[in-house]
Amino acid sequence: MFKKFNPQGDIVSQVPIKSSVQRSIRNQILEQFPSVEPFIEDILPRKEKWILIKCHGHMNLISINYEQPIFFNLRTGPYFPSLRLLHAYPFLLPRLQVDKGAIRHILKGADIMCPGLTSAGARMDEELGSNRMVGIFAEGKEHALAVGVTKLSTEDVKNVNKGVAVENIHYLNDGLWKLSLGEQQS
Amino acid sequence: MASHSFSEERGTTCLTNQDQYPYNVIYCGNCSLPFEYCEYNGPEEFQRCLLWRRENYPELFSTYDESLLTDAFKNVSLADSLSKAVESNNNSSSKKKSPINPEVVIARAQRKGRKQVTIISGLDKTGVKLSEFSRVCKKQFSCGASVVTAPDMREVVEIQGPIFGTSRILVCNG
Repeated sequence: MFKKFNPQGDIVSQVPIKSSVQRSIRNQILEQFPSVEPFIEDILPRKEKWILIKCHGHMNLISINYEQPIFFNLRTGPYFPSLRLLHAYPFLLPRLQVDKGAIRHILKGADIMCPGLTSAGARMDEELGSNRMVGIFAEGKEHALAVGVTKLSTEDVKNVNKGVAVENIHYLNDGLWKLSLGEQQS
Repeated sequence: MASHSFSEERGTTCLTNQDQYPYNVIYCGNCSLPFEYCEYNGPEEFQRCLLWRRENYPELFSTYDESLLTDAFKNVSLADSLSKAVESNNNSSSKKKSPINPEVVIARAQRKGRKQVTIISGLDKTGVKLSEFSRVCKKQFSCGASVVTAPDMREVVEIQGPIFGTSRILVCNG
């Protein structure tokens, strides 16, 4: 989704978020990620300035104090955590592990194919339905390398073993990862 | 299998403070990725990542990492290798801009939002009068066109709107 992201052209506006809207965003995020509750004050501090960054394609990014965005969503859809946030709190999303061969392609923005999730180095420990938000981890690596949405349930991935299993939404070194709002400001 | 043990080795080192959240993940200062993904940057970039790691996090720079450094990079510092890379880039670009065959570049640039402009640079070296050319463009494309000074102090013609195909024909004929 952020493969061709260009901060100069794709960011439409940056506005501070009203505190009432902040509250509803915070509630929505808590609802989506109940496990994050003990850390919510660290991730989304009440006192800081929240910035809503609107981009083309109805993409919204949320940043605190013009730092790297921590959440993003499409239209009014669910909030995705950014990879930096996922690195800090890896329990946010259910994890799928791909084998080593897939890493190269995912870092170029490719979707995750079924064989990459069923081969020897891969792991799918949890039973997941389709259309679930997942973190993509890799064989032998500690940190997540992508955030995606499952296109097939884990059951189907095992049975069909062909085609796209997880849509790649946000991956290491894509436009969102590289986005730096500090430069935009100056 | 070598690269497997590589990551295993580092996976257990103090890359993160395991006991509590948030994890404090250390990112490579060269490529901004977590260390374990540096190797996917292409061979030369990876060497620079290793150098950066050696200079900034010597405690995380294992002997295995040392063995990955090629001889060419072994004894240089990061700054050296960077300046070398810049140099080689400069050399290649200066070759391209040889005065014998002036190059006309038609580029598209993005203005606010999805608005685009066409920028034609290098025309001044071909002997075409820029103001003349922009006037022709205005007539031809019925849109705004003007001579502006580019950031690198060269005069370029800027035409409003994305019109590369047709403007190319015009440049070739004119």
